[in-house]
Amino acid sequence: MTSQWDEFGQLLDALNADGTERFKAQRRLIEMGEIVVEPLLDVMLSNNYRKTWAIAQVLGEIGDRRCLQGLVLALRSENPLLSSTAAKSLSKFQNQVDILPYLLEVFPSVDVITQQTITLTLQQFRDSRAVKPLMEQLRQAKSPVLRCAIIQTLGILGDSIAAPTIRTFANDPDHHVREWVIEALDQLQSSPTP
Amino acid sequence: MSHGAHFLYVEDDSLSREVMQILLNEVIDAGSVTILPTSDNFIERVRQLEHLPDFILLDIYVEPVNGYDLLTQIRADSDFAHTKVIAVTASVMSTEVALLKAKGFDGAIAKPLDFATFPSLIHRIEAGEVIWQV
Repeated sequence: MTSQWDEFGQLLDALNADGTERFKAQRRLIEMGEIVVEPLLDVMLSNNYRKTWAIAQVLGEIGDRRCLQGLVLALRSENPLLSSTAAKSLSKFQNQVDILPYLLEVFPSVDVITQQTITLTLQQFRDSRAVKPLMEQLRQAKSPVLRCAIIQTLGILGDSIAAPTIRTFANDPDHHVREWVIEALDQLQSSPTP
Repeated sequence: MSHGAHFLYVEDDSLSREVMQILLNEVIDAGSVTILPTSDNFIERVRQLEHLPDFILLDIYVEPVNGYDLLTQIRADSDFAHTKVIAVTASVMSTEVALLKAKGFDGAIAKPLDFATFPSLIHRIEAGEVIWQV
């Protein structure tokens, strides 16, 4: 058991490395599975950017329920790298737990980087409950990249209720937003009525 | 390995600049990261850097000189003969990818930047793979 924890310490150090070494450490931690969940959760909430990012990915892959709680907590982190990765990792639990309410609840209060990641994560869920909250966030989005992501997601979600809101951005000062408005409206027009 | 590589990013969107800064400094472990919000006097400003970039990441619609014209300036300068130039674009238009290829970019990465996939994209580009992830 001691050697296992020695290895755990070495793997944690390796999470600070770049590229292949970090990737190998992540794969090994995923293999170790449930036994490393609690210590990883402790470390994840530290302020080391790279380690927390790497651990949030590992916890998403291990998929233990305790990981879920830690990732929900990490969603509210002020470290956008951690909160964004937590959002992405949480999407891996979608088959076990209804993740959508967690993501929608934190959306208004997290930083814009995490909002962007949550928006892209919502594309995968294809859940119409996200449509109205996203419409609301679109009206408030100051970043053109976030507006693009939300409009793109609303198009993919396919609920025509979003069309009038999307149309109000047809003359957006950002040309990419205008492109995505056209694309999303086309998608909504060709989507079956929900 | 991108450990120690020198990156230059030209981007007018503040959110994308912030994300890239985090990715390159905290995840990729770049040797140096320079981020320019505008493209004026581009070559002159790049020459003043302590390290010439190994990677130049270009937003296409940056001002006053757009990404296509910046690429032309870079390709015309032998000092950048080994520099990989990657487009970073939020464009929805599939025709843009064809244009990026025709103009001679070494690849393209879609915005918004993805924390999970970006590091491996950079490693693959550095290993010589051509990435058109738009």
